[in-house]
Amino acid sequence: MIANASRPPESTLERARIDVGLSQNELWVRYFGLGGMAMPIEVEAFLLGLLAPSAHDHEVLVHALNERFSELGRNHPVPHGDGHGPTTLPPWGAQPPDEP
Amino acid sequence: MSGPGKLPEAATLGQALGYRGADELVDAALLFVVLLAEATIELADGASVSLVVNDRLATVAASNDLVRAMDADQYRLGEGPCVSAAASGTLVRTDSIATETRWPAFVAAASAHGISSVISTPIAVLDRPVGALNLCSRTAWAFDAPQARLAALLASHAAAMLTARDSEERSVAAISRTIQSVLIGRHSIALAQGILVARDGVTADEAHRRLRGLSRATNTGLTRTAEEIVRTAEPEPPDGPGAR
Repeated sequence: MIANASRPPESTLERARIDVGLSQNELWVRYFGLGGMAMPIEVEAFLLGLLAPSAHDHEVLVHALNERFSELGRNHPVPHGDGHGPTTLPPWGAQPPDEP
Repeated sequence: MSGPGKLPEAATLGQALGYRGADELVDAALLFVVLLAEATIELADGASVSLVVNDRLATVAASNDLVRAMDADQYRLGEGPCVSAAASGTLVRTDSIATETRWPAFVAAASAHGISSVISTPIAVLDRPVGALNLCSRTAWAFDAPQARLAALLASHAAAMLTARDSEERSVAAISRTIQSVLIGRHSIALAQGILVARDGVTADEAHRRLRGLSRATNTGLTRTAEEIVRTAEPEPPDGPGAR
């Protein structure tokens, strides 16, 4: 279970987390605030690729990271549905999306 | 930030809720200050720290019973060097109790204990006097400028310890605010999920997915999106741009 500290981060989520300058705790607090249910240790394991998140948890983490991207005024969001198929838009009158 | 393979180490909800005050540590540090004061200031026969606790002065550390009794007399009588120093934030010294005229009731009590001179140095936290470091002696004229400088140095150390406790309490307050805003956000999202579940007959996860999609499509935070859904679902007529 112990990851090699010198190994570069392998998950898209972990790379994005480092990119937006959030600590693992800060990301967990944001994920939790958006309705995420996993414990901090589980989220850390998701980030390190030691544990596979459910599609739902993965998407909530992606959303938390992308809200942080928006706060920073950047437009290089983490792709949605990574490994879990495309995320479709709600069927009830939403405006066209910025990204599919 | 925690490294790989380590538990997350700060600012998580569990740790914030598990916080316990550092009072025991601060009290031990203040006791160290008064013992150091008595040991290093020649002719000092007792040292104490008085602090305002619940709007009243109280002795939180004392090197012996003599100085503790002197403090108690001052609190009871409402006068004396310690009371004056803590109230005014300035150093108060009496070189000879026998000729002291400012506090007649205190002079009588101190004389009964055999105290002949007293110096009280204010302790200030964030520029506000919160108490005093007190030294008493059975010798008259025991405390002059060098002793006053040493007392001021020790009082500033006592203040630093209290400031550290104060800032820790403030950081707990900041964590509490974070917890509150995080829980309010979750609450709105859960409410909005419930509305979609009831209205559209979808699962909770699907409702969350729809909220995320709407949040992305409108470039609005998920919490704001959820709040908007809740607002438009409430019976009052909506008075702004709707979320649907």
